[in-house]
Amino acid sequence: MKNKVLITVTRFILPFIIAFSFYIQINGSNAPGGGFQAGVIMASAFMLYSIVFGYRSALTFMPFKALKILAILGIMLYGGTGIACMIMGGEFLNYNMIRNNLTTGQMLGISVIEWGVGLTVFATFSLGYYAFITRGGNEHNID
Amino acid sequence: MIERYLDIAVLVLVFSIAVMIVRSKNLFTVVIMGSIFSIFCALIYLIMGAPDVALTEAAVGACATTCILLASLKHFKEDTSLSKWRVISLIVFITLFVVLSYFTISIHPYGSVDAITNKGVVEYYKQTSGNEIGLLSLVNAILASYRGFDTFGETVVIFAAGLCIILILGTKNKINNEK
Repeated sequence: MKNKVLITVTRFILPFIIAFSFYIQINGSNAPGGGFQAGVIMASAFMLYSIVFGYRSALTFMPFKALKILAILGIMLYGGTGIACMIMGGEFLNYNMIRNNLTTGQMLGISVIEWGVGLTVFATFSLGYYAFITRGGNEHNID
Repeated sequence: MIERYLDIAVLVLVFSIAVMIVRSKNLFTVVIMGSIFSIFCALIYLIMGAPDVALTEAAVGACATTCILLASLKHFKEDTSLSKWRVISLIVFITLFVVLSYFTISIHPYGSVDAITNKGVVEYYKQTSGNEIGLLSLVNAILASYRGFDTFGETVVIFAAGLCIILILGTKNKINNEK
């Protein structure tokens, strides 16, 4: 797609979308939002990039293998937090065992699992989009 | 009073967009209209005081789903007439309309104290989550700590859905052919 207005606007707006995604991810414990929303917004940024600049250039810096590894990493981060709580002597996902202080362990555990959810959701949505766009078919609608 | 007029205005907009979706012949128009429909749904959630749901609806319904549907749209041929399904879709629509209307009558009014969603464990969460969890956002305290196991299950479900897409569609059809 060779539209100059589209390319310029996309270059202008992409950093803001990515920064908004990170803001929602990090600030999710005090404001609306959280891991799921941050992951979806980040995936939308990648979809916008691959619609405007073509999926081949998007695949150069985020290949399929990296997305698969990210999805598995998110699940393992979430489950690993639960297992770490079990090792420290509590139940599965009982964050109070991470720190002795009453709420510090909870906040730490919640921020870690939100990162896990965000990674998995981002990687899964991007994988679904790339699986559709690289499938073949008549090319003239997009790209 | 002005909130009531805002509600009515947005609902009329959503209804007219839904009618336009049903009546349009072009699939591309349907996808873009669905995106606009999601934006107005997010506005309704925001008016009802649910910013988390509004954010999710705007991100998933308006951005991600529209992009995925646009990507899947190129596998269709230009002429996709759905006329042979017209009778079946009419039957499904009327059945759904009757069933949903029947259950809408028995729903409690919005924000009612007697509603089943405002009873039970909600009061406990409101009173103790500040001391036990320490987060300012009650939604995230419930989602990630009290109901952490459910959220783990949801994440695994999303991962399994992505896995199914990869297994069905494959990820290296065109890339390998072009090399």
